[in-house]
Parts: sequence; structure tokens; C-alpha cells
Amino acid sequence: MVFSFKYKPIKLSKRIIYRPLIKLTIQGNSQSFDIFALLDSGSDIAVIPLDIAELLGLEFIGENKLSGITNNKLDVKQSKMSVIVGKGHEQYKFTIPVLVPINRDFNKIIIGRAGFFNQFKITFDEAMKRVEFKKVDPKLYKIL
Amino acid sequence: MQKLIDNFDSLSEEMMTKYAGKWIAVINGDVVASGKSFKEVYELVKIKHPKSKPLYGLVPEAVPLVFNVL
Repeated sequence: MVFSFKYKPIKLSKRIIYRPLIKLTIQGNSQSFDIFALLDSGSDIAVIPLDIAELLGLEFIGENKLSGITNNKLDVKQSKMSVIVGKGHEQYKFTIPVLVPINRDFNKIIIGRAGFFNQFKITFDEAMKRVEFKKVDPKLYKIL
Repeated sequence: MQKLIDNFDSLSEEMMTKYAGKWIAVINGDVVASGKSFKEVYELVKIKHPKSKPLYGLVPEAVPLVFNVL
């Protein structure tokens, strides 16, 4: 089974940029939130702001550093959260690792590869401006 | 899940452009709160719509974006 999300358009001056935003539910020990977020195949792992992690009731299991395209590094806490993604009757729940910058000025949310991209065959269809998901067995994928 | 889908599908070009760079909360296709942080929007929703479960999200900025978390 395949489900997809259309890219979301944002007007930039005289042209439009289409972004691969997806909707999902993120869940911790305290509560869950329905969110939309950028699906980023260039990010190794998901990143969420500290305020969301605290409201979800996530447990922190370690510390690390996070870097982007600049040389600066962010101090982050490591955690895990449940995600529910899908459409209609086709919904999948699994746990992904997530990094949480300790700097409260950080306010972005990104869904990266770790724990997420091995759950699906994901196609960024730039021509049709949509991202397609086909569920795969992550265990089988790991063996292959 | 249907409400979640409806709220997501209702994110129009106009809405995304208007709120670029901001966190928003969407209920029944309408933006009911916006702000600089998730917590700011969450607190507004708790006051204005305490029984609702909105769709939250950070609308990407209206500038070319490359991977940069800083």
C-alpha cells in the first residue's frame, strides 16, 4: 500500500517554493501532538525543540552534539518518541530516536532518516510535487 | 486521523505564505493561533480552545532552505 502527501507551497517573491511537509502524530509519556513537519532526507535524525520534548514528557537518555552546514555545533539531549504516520486506514506507529537542542531559541522541527526512513520506501516525486511512502518491513530491510 | 488529514490538506498557499517562519495551530482548516515558538502557540490554544486537538506546525520560511539547524 502506498500513501502520499502533496508538497506544500510557499510564495517567495514572484515564484513559489514547494516543501515536502508531512503530517504525523508524535507521542511521549505525557501526551501526543498532531503536527506537520519537514521531511528531510539530508538530516541523519529527527530534531525537535526542547519545549515540545518537555510537554511530551520525553525521557532524556544521553547527550551529544549536533551540526548543520555551518561549523557551529549545538548541545543536544538524546531521546526517543513514538510517531504515528499514514492516511485513512493505513497508519503505522513506531519509535524513532530524536535529538533535542538544549538552547530554547531553537524552534525547528525536522523529521530525519534514523528510525523513520527504514520503515518505508520513500520517493520524493519532484515532478508531481509529492512524497510517497510504501511500507516495508524494517527487519527485512535491515537484512538486505 | 481524518481531522488531522483535513487540517493538513487545508494548508493553502496563502496560509503558508502568510505564516511563513511561524508556528501555527490549525483547527477545522483555520489558523487559531500563531507565534514564534511551539509553547507560545500551545498556551494560546489551551486558553482559547481547551478541548480541541489542533494540528501544530512550523511553517518554513519563505526563503530558499538548505539543511541548517542553527
